[in-house]
Amino acid sequence: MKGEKIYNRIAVLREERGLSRKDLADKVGVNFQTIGYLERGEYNPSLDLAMDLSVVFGLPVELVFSRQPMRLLSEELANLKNKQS
Amino acid sequence: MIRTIPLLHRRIAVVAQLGCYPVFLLLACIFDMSSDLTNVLAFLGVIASSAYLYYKTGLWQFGNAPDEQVDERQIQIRNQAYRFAYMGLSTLALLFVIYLTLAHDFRWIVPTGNLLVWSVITLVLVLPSAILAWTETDV
Repeated sequence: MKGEKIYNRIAVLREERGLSRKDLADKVGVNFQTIGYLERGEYNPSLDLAMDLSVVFGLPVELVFSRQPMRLLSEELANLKNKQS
Repeated sequence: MIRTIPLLHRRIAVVAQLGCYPVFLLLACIFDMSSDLTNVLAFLGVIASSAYLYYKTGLWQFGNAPDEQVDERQIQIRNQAYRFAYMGLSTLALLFVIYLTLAHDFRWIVPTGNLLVWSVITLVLVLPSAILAWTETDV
Protein backbone atom coordinates (compact mmCIF):
# COMPACT_ATOMS: atom_id res chain seq x y z
CA MET A 1 0.00 0.00 0.00
CA LYS A 2 1.52 3.28 -1.10
CA GLY A 3 0.29 6.30 0.88
CA GLU A 4 0.37 10.00 0.14
CA LYS A 5 3.80 11.65 0.34
CA ILE A 6 4.82 12.95 3.76
CA TYR A 7 7.29 15.84 3.82
CA ASN A 8 9.74 16.27 6.69
CA ARG A 9 12.50 18.47 8.10
CA ILE A 10 14.68 15.65 9.36
CA ALA A 11 17.77 16.62 7.34
CA VAL A 12 17.70 20.28 8.50
CA LEU A 13 17.00 19.42 12.14
CA ARG A 14 19.68 16.72 12.18
CA GLU A 15 22.29 19.08 10.71
CA GLU A 16 21.26 21.81 13.12
CA ARG A 17 21.86 19.51 16.08
CA GLY A 18 25.19 18.29 14.68
CA LEU A 19 24.04 14.67 14.43
CA SER A 20 25.22 12.22 11.80
CA ARG A 21 22.70 9.86 10.18
CA LYS A 22 24.21 7.07 12.25
CA ASP A 23 23.77 9.05 15.52
CA LEU A 24 20.14 9.81 14.76
CA ALA A 25 19.51 6.23 13.63
CA ASP A 26 20.94 4.91 16.92
CA LYS A 27 18.73 7.27 18.92
CA VAL A 28 15.52 6.06 17.27
CA GLY A 29 16.58 2.43 16.76
CA VAL A 30 16.65 2.15 12.97
CA ASN A 31 19.30 1.47 10.35
CA PHE A 32 21.25 4.59 9.26
CA GLN A 33 20.20 3.97 5.65
CA THR A 34 16.57 4.37 6.71
CA ILE A 35 17.35 7.93 7.85
CA GLY A 36 18.66 8.63 4.33
CA TYR A 37 15.45 7.27 2.78
CA LEU A 38 13.38 9.39 5.21
CA GLU A 39 15.35 12.56 4.45
CA ARG A 40 14.92 12.08 0.70
CA GLY A 41 11.19 11.49 1.18
CA GLU A 42 11.48 7.98 -0.27
CA TYR A 43 9.96 6.36 2.80
CA ASN A 44 7.01 7.37 5.00
CA PRO A 45 7.69 6.47 8.64
CA SER A 46 5.26 4.67 10.93
CA LEU A 47 3.54 6.81 13.59
CA ASP A 48 5.82 5.19 16.17
CA LEU A 49 9.01 6.22 14.34
CA ALA A 50 7.64 9.70 13.59
CA MET A 51 6.93 10.23 17.32
CA ASP A 52 10.40 8.96 18.28
CA LEU A 53 12.04 11.37 15.82
CA SER A 54 9.96 14.27 17.14
CA VAL A 55 11.03 13.43 20.70
CA VAL A 56 14.71 13.38 19.68
CA PHE A 57 14.35 16.82 18.07
CA GLY A 58 12.23 18.09 20.98
CA LEU A 59 9.53 19.41 18.64
CA PRO A 60 5.85 18.65 18.08
CA VAL A 61 5.34 16.03 15.40
CA GLU A 62 3.57 18.51 13.08
CA LEU A 63 6.73 20.65 12.95
CA VAL A 64 8.79 17.70 11.78
CA PHE A 65 6.31 16.04 9.39
CA SER A 66 3.65 17.47 7.10
CA ARG A 67 1.37 16.51 4.22
CA GLN A 68 2.25 19.83 2.56
CA PRO A 69 5.74 20.88 1.41
CA MET A 70 7.60 22.30 4.40
CA ARG A 71 7.77 26.07 5.02
CA LEU A 72 10.65 27.74 6.89
CA LEU A 73 10.75 26.69 10.54
CA SER A 74 10.79 30.35 11.63
CA GLU A 75 7.49 30.98 9.74
CA GLU A 76 5.99 27.88 11.27
CA LEU A 77 7.00 28.92 14.82
CA ALA A 78 5.62 32.45 14.27
CA ASN A 79 2.31 30.93 13.16
CA LEU A 80 2.21 28.75 16.26
CA LYS A 81 2.85 31.77 18.52
CA ASN A 82 0.10 33.74 16.75
CA LYS A 83 -2.33 30.88 17.27
CA GLN A 84 -1.47 30.66 20.97
CA SER A 85 -1.83 34.43 21.63
CA MET B 1 32.54 -1.74 9.02
CA ILE B 2 30.02 -1.77 6.18
CA ARG B 3 31.21 -2.19 2.60
CA THR B 4 29.26 -0.32 -0.08
CA ILE B 5 28.93 -1.45 -3.70
CA PRO B 6 27.60 0.74 -6.54
CA LEU B 7 24.17 -0.30 -7.83
CA LEU B 8 25.45 -1.26 -11.30
CA HIS B 9 28.15 -3.55 -9.86
CA ARG B 10 25.60 -5.13 -7.54
CA ARG B 11 23.25 -5.82 -10.45
CA ILE B 12 26.06 -7.39 -12.49
CA ALA B 13 26.92 -9.61 -9.51
CA VAL B 14 23.24 -10.62 -9.14
CA VAL B 15 23.07 -11.61 -12.82
CA ALA B 16 26.28 -13.63 -12.42
CA GLN B 17 25.04 -15.26 -9.21
CA LEU B 18 21.66 -16.30 -10.58
CA GLY B 19 22.87 -16.96 -14.12
CA CYS B 20 25.94 -19.16 -13.54
CA TYR B 21 24.23 -22.52 -13.09
CA PRO B 22 21.52 -22.04 -15.76
CA VAL B 23 24.10 -20.82 -18.33
CA PHE B 24 26.46 -23.73 -17.66
CA LEU B 25 23.47 -26.09 -17.66
CA LEU B 26 22.55 -24.77 -21.12
CA LEU B 27 26.16 -25.02 -22.35
CA ALA B 28 26.43 -28.57 -21.00
CA CYS B 29 23.20 -29.53 -22.82
CA ILE B 30 24.07 -27.84 -26.15
CA PHE B 31 27.81 -28.59 -26.44
CA ASP B 32 27.82 -31.83 -24.51
CA MET B 33 30.50 -30.48 -22.14
CA SER B 34 31.94 -32.51 -19.27
CA SER B 35 29.62 -32.20 -16.27
CA ASP B 36 32.58 -32.07 -13.85
CA LEU B 37 34.00 -29.01 -15.58
CA THR B 38 30.69 -27.17 -15.86
CA ASN B 39 29.85 -28.01 -12.24
CA VAL B 40 33.14 -26.58 -10.97
CA LEU B 41 32.96 -23.45 -13.13
CA ALA B 42 29.37 -22.71 -12.16
CA PHE B 43 30.13 -23.31 -8.47
CA LEU B 44 33.11 -20.95 -8.57
CA GLY B 45 31.01 -18.31 -10.33
CA VAL B 46 28.26 -18.48 -7.71
CA ILE B 47 30.72 -18.43 -4.81
CA ALA B 48 32.67 -15.46 -6.22
CA SER B 49 29.59 -13.37 -7.00
CA SER B 50 27.97 -14.22 -3.64
CA ALA B 51 31.12 -13.29 -1.73
CA TYR B 52 31.33 -10.01 -3.63
CA LEU B 53 27.66 -9.23 -2.96
CA TYR B 54 27.31 -10.28 0.65
CA TYR B 55 30.70 -9.92 2.34
CA LYS B 56 30.29 -7.09 4.87
CA THR B 57 27.51 -5.37 2.90
CA GLY B 58 24.69 -6.35 5.28
CA LEU B 59 22.60 -7.53 2.32
CA TRP B 60 22.49 -11.15 3.42
CA GLN B 61 21.43 -10.12 6.92
CA PHE B 62 18.85 -7.75 5.43
CA GLY B 63 17.32 -10.64 3.50
CA ASN B 64 17.51 -13.33 6.16
CA ALA B 65 17.82 -11.94 9.71
CA PRO B 66 14.90 -12.22 12.17
CA ASP B 67 12.51 -9.24 12.22
CA GLU B 68 13.96 -7.98 15.54
CA GLN B 69 17.30 -7.31 13.84
CA VAL B 70 15.96 -5.12 11.03
CA ASP B 71 13.95 -1.91 11.17
CA GLU B 72 10.41 -1.15 9.96
CA ARG B 73 11.45 0.04 6.46
CA GLN B 74 13.67 -3.01 5.99
CA ILE B 75 10.85 -5.35 7.04
CA GLN B 76 8.54 -3.65 4.52
CA ILE B 77 11.08 -3.86 1.67
CA ARG B 78 11.96 -7.44 2.60
CA ASN B 79 8.30 -8.48 2.53
CA GLN B 80 8.08 -7.08 -1.00
CA ALA B 81 11.25 -8.97 -1.96
CA TYR B 82 9.81 -12.24 -0.60
CA ARG B 83 6.60 -11.65 -2.56
CA PHE B 84 8.57 -11.05 -5.79
CA ALA B 85 10.73 -14.10 -5.06
CA TYR B 86 7.65 -16.26 -4.57
CA MET B 87 6.07 -14.96 -7.77
CA GLY B 88 9.35 -15.44 -9.67
CA LEU B 89 9.86 -19.00 -8.45
CA SER B 90 6.22 -19.94 -9.13
CA THR B 91 6.46 -18.55 -12.67
CA LEU B 92 9.74 -20.37 -13.34
CA ALA B 93 8.34 -23.64 -11.97
CA LEU B 94 5.25 -23.29 -14.14
CA LEU B 95 7.31 -22.48 -17.26
CA PHE B 96 9.59 -25.44 -16.54
CA VAL B 97 6.63 -27.82 -16.23
CA ILE B 98 5.20 -26.51 -19.52
CA TYR B 99 8.63 -26.92 -21.16
CA LEU B 100 8.92 -30.49 -19.87
CA THR B 101 5.47 -31.34 -21.24
CA LEU B 102 6.32 -29.88 -24.66
CA ALA B 103 9.86 -31.31 -24.65
CA HIS B 104 8.44 -34.80 -24.41
CA ASP B 105 6.18 -34.25 -27.46
CA PHE B 106 8.70 -32.31 -29.59
CA ARG B 107 11.79 -34.25 -28.51
CA TRP B 108 13.56 -31.15 -27.11
CA ILE B 109 16.57 -31.42 -24.80
CA VAL B 110 15.52 -32.07 -21.18
CA PRO B 111 18.00 -30.69 -18.61
CA THR B 112 18.80 -33.11 -15.80
CA GLY B 113 21.53 -33.85 -13.25
CA ASN B 114 23.57 -31.87 -10.74
CA LEU B 115 23.49 -28.56 -12.57
CA LEU B 116 19.69 -28.47 -12.59
CA VAL B 117 19.53 -29.35 -8.90
CA TRP B 118 22.11 -26.68 -7.99
CA SER B 119 20.38 -24.09 -10.20
CA VAL B 120 17.20 -24.60 -8.20
CA ILE B 121 19.02 -24.65 -4.83
CA THR B 122 20.90 -21.42 -5.62
CA LEU B 123 17.73 -19.72 -6.79
CA VAL B 124 15.74 -20.72 -3.72
CA LEU B 125 18.51 -19.76 -1.29
CA VAL B 126 19.57 -16.40 -2.66
CA LEU B 127 16.56 -14.97 -4.50
CA PRO B 128 15.18 -12.67 -1.75
CA SER B 129 18.64 -11.24 -0.96
CA ALA B 130 19.42 -10.97 -4.68
CA ILE B 131 16.20 -8.98 -5.23
CA LEU B 132 17.21 -6.64 -2.40
CA ALA B 133 20.71 -6.27 -3.88
CA TRP B 134 19.09 -5.41 -7.22
CA THR B 135 16.53 -2.91 -5.90
CA GLU B 136 18.08 -1.11 -2.90
CA THR B 137 19.58 2.18 -4.01
CA ASP B 138 21.38 2.97 -0.75
CA VAL B 139 23.59 0.03 0.23
